[in-house]
Amino acid sequence: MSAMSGAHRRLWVWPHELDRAGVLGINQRNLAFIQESNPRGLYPRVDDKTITKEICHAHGIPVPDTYAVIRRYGDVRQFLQVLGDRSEFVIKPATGAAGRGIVVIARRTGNDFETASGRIVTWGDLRYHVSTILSGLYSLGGHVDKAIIEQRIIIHPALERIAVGGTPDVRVILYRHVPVMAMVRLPTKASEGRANLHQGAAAAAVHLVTGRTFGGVCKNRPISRHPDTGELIAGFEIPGWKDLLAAAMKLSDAIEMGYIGVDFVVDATIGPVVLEANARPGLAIQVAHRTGLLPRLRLIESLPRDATRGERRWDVIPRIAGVDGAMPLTTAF
Amino acid sequence: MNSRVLSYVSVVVCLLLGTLLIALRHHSRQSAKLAEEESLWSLTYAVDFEPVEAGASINIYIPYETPYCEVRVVKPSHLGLRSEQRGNRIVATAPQAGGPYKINAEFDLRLSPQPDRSRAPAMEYLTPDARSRYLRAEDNIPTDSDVVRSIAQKAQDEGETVSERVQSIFRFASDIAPGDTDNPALVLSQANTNATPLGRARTMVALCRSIGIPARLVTGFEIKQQLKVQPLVWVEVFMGQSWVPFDPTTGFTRYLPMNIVPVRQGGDEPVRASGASKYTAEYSIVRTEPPVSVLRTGQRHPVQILDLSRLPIPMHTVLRVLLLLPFGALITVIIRNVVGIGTFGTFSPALLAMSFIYANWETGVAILLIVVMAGVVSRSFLERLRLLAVPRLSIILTIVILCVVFGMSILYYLLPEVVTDAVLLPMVILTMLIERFYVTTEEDGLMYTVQLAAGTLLVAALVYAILAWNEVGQFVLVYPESHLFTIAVFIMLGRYAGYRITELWRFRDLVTTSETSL
Repeated sequence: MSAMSGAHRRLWVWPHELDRAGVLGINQRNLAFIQESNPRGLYPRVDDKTITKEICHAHGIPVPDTYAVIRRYGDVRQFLQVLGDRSEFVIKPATGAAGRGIVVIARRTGNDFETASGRIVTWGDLRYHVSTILSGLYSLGGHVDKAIIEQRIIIHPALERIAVGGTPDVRVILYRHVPVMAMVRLPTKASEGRANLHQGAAAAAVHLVTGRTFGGVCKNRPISRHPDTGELIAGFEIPGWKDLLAAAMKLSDAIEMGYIGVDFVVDATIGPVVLEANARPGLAIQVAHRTGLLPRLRLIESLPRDATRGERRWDVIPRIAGVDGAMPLTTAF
Repeated sequence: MNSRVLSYVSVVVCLLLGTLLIALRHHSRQSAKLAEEESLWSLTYAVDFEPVEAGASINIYIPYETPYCEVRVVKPSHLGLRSEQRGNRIVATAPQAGGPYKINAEFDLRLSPQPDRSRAPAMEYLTPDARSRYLRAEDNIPTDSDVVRSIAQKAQDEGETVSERVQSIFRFASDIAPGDTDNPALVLSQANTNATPLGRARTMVALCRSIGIPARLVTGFEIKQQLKVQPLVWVEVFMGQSWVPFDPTTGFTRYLPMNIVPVRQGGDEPVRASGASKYTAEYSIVRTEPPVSVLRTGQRHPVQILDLSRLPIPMHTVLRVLLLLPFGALITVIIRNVVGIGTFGTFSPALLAMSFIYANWETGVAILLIVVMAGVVSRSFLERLRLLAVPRLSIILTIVILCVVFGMSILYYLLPEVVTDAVLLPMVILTMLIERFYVTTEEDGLMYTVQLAAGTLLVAALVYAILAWNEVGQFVLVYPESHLFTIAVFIMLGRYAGYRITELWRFRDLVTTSETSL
């Protein structure tokens, strides 16, 4: 990438340059998009993963199987019974943000467990972790929370080469229920297996039409290779891309919020499943794409209402993907 | 009405309402101040004027404004004369000989102990004409008499600078003893048979002029209640770029007491006749009453509720800090939304800063560091105990309190004379801060935690600087309605959709690449 060549390394740029590049800033995102499009009352639909999952079930959108939802401290004791003989599962807070408080168990020997990153934890550790989740340590605003025990997703082989110590997830940002941009987030050593960009995960842009990766970002800087493996992160195709986009649009319709990010993981057998939806999706996706969100958002605003409804959205997606003209349709490099 | 229009309307309403309230209350406070500090005086010239020929006129000099004194001219009353104001005097002309005419000229003087520098005399340039006028000999100012020359020469030899020479002349004029007939000064002028104020002033003017320093007599009044006032006479010497007063009688040099008002420059009487005429003048000064409304300012009135400065002094510190806290919030908003630096908690930095106000900040910071370190260490130990959240937080709260209490005790033991006030750190906020600090370190890594901690400290330091600013605190205490402006600023910042400063760095690559890919 030209950005890696260091031709024009600048420490900062002028606001009007960002404006010309169509970059969406946090303040504008909050004021002009989130506040305008996302009614307060609907936030529980995205903030509480149990509600998001119920919505998904109701609309036939695939999600990881829920083994149990623990709501009270008293229920923590029954954790082992609920678990049965499962040796792979995920514990996560229902209202957690930024991947906090998620423990992925990959192996089990009796009552000793091993996380996906190879750490050995005891049954007591897990029980304590569940109770800290319930106490609200990871929840938005520190409210009392629920803990979800759910199916662990097996990484699709197509993505294995760029998945290091964690599961890559695909984020699609939708505005007025139309996909605007997508990226795949890749855990790194620095992010300790979590696919969260501000903890050091990397991300590659995903082309909306082809589902193929290009670009890339890590710690807010453009990259083209995985920071741990050196593997090129461009040119991968997200398996089941059309299904993923369809599910994203269906969920966006059901949640009824105008500006959301939907996070998927691609399971080896089920294909794309919804992990969660986010009413305040981050902006680093722009760095991954090397282009700003604003031209795409403006394009959607300019479209007639019926062009952004139902199946007609599929006709709009190529226009959105091509509006900035930066990336060719077929191959990225 | 959409949110944007409504926001702008609210901003305008806040600004207008704030301005209106402040203006109204400032006005009423000003008039109240008048009663307490300022005084109103009425200066009257009563002149009997007998012109011998038609066209003779009488010049009445109007008092000059000084930083301490504001002058208002009341229209002079007289019968049968034509009068007009020319510069700093009123000229009354008699159409024909006869009379006697009576003229009453009245001036309202407002004396204030707070000087208004805008009324201070401006620097001036002395034209060659004016210069020669203030150097020449006049009646009773014999600049070229031998006595004057020899005394002046001595002053010239003694001093190197103009200032020193003038000082030595001033000393000479001041030192003339009354009735000292041997003193050569009394020989200066035939008219000065005694060391009167006028005699001393003329002596000084003559001596200055004799060695080429422009000087003049000035007439004026001392403002105090008196029915028959004798005008004062002193000297002004042109030094540097301005006329500098010297009063060899009272000893004041380079500035005049606030209650002295100059009336005429270059003469020894406040009134001067031109043309053939006779006149007598009498001057009086009377203290006038302040307006009735002003005398009633102490009355109970609901408007007083707005004036917090009337509350007992011990409450002021607390009120001031409370009223300054919105400015702390303003800094927080700017740092977070405009600059884009994160902090632990939204208002905890501001509240932390507030607690330092009561003690000296060094003690505060020392205790804060002890508390945070002890807190984080004990928090990481508590992690092993696997406790439920609320009991765990309560333990941290207890440890924080113990640290604060014993921290102060230790400081008092080591430096008994330094510790003045209790460091009332917001214990609950600190407890949450320690918890967040620990969790963030665990969850998001030390780097991110350090970033947040730096942001927190930055905001806290800025807020502390604002809170410690006494003048601002006093202002909000007197005009709490000025927070309507603060609210207006908050609304504007709340509508700020521009980039944050950190985004100029964060998204810089988007600009570089879009340029290179073209």
